[in-house]
Amino acid sequence: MNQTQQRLKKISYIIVSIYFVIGLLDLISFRDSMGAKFSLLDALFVKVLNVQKERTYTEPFGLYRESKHFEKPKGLHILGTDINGNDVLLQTLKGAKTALLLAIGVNLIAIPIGIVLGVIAGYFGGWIDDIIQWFYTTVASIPWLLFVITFLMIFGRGMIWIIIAIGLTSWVELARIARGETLKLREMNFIKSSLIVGKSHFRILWEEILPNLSSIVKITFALSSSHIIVAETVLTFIGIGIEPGSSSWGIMIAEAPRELLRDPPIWWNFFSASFLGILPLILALNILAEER
Amino acid sequence: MWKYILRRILYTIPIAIGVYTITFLLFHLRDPIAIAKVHLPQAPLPVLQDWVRANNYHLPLFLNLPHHAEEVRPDGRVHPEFKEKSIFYSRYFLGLKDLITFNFGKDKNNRDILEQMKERAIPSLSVMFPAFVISIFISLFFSLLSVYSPLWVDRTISFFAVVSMSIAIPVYLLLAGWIFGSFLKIVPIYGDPLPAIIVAVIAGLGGQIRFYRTVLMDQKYQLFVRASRLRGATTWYVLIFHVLRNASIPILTTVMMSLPFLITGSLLLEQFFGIPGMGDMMYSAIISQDFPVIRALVYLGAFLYMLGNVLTDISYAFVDPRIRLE
Repeated sequence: MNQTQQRLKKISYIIVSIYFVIGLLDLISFRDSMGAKFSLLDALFVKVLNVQKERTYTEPFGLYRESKHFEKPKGLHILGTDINGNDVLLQTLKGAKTALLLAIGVNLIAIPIGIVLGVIAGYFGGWIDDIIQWFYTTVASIPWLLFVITFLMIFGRGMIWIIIAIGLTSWVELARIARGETLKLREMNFIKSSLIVGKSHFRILWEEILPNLSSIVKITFALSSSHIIVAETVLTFIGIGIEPGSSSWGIMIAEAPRELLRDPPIWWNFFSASFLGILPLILALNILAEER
Repeated sequence: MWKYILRRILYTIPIAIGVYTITFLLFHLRDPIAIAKVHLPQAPLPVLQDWVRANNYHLPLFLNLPHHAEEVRPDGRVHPEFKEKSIFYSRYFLGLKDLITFNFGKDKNNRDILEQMKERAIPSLSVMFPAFVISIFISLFFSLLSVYSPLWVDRTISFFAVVSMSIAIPVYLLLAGWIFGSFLKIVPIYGDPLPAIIVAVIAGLGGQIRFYRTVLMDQKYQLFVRASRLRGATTWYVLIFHVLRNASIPILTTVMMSLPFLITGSLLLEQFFGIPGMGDMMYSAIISQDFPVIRALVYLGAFLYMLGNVLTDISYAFVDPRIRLE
């Protein structure tokens, strides 16, 4: 790995951590005196930066209004406001929470399934391997997007169902890689010697094989997080993803076809979701997922 | 070799059964009345029960065991006629029979699903096939350029490939719609395959360039490539007869595995550009909650995927002599 690549990876780490912190800030929420939910991020924007809710669209920097019938914007909106008068910058940052929850939720389902099945198949071999291989080939044969769509149509839309649907389907690649890696490790001398010493299979799997798979898990985590965030925008764009009303980049993009057709076009909502919200995060995750 | 091919084809049977079982469970694990409610949101209970009966959801799930005939169901009905039927008179086996005979049933508007699929495959193909061919050529060109040029060219191409991989498909669509519709005003965006082809090519380019680059990079430093260069072979000779030939297996795999998408099309692309293909069929089925259509499309997609898998393995046998000998 050369210097440029190392620097790129470092920057990517920083970007992902920033998104993580923003997501956490938005996760910590409390109720105000009126009983409305209020996250730390909202508090920061409203109290510190004095960003108020407007009536409808305002352009970036809030310098002029869509029509003169509306009053002057109350606060400074660097990226303008959306149709409900919410600050677009705040909405974009809030999308990080949805992305964070989706990525962690899906990986919490997919990584254990993938690792357990892959390691068992690779380590024990024989008919166990055959059955597990059959199982993941079967799951891989079902078109991924269609499975998720069907699942969401039957169980209803919403965050939790998206997490379950994608989690149940996205473990296949990890299982395949973990199986191959375990096959390789099994033939190595340190595993053979611990078998001779008398370690149980379970302890060998836990103490010798699993730690050797950690780099694979890291790469899978980065890669599948980026896939999930893109998948969310696609599902929401079709109209079966996150419910409208919550904030996600998918919703901001899904509203864009109508907004771009207006005269003048409302471009800032779409641009900030796709180029300030999604692009840097996915780019950073993709760079982190590179092996070399 | 024929033994290998036969074994490969036979291996798809258990996978096909697995796909059918998982899909079946997905569609049947929920309470039938709840599914009927999704289908007919405001209907009263008797209508829902009729829908359940009309769609065979009242049948036993896996096996028609004797107790099913006497069992009183939630809709207050007993089914003595089940007694005369065989043990396989169940949703699982009737569905399997329909699937084997390609009887996908009718959609909400009472049109035959298989007929519709046949009609809609052509528009999908007319967008996806040109896009597929063009993108293979462009991405092979860029990945070769990336492998056989100074480092900074390689870096630039790789960087742009990763950036283009990081842009979500809806963003590509909206940008294209905006550029074609508002700035260029050359083509009508809706219903024309040309912008759809352009977007399909651009959106898939990054990933393909990255993949081909890795494959070609692996070949570049192989010993036989260097040996051939030392013997005085030209760059072009080495490229065509050693590098590309040996890279053909991974390339073949991706080509074969993208075959299903040629026919089933791209959901977002067809919906956005108004191409009446199979992706559009999928979209309208999602909007109108048309379960039989979705189910048929799931089966079709899985079938094409398995077909692609088998064809890939068979084509390996022709390309790679090592497999032939096994």
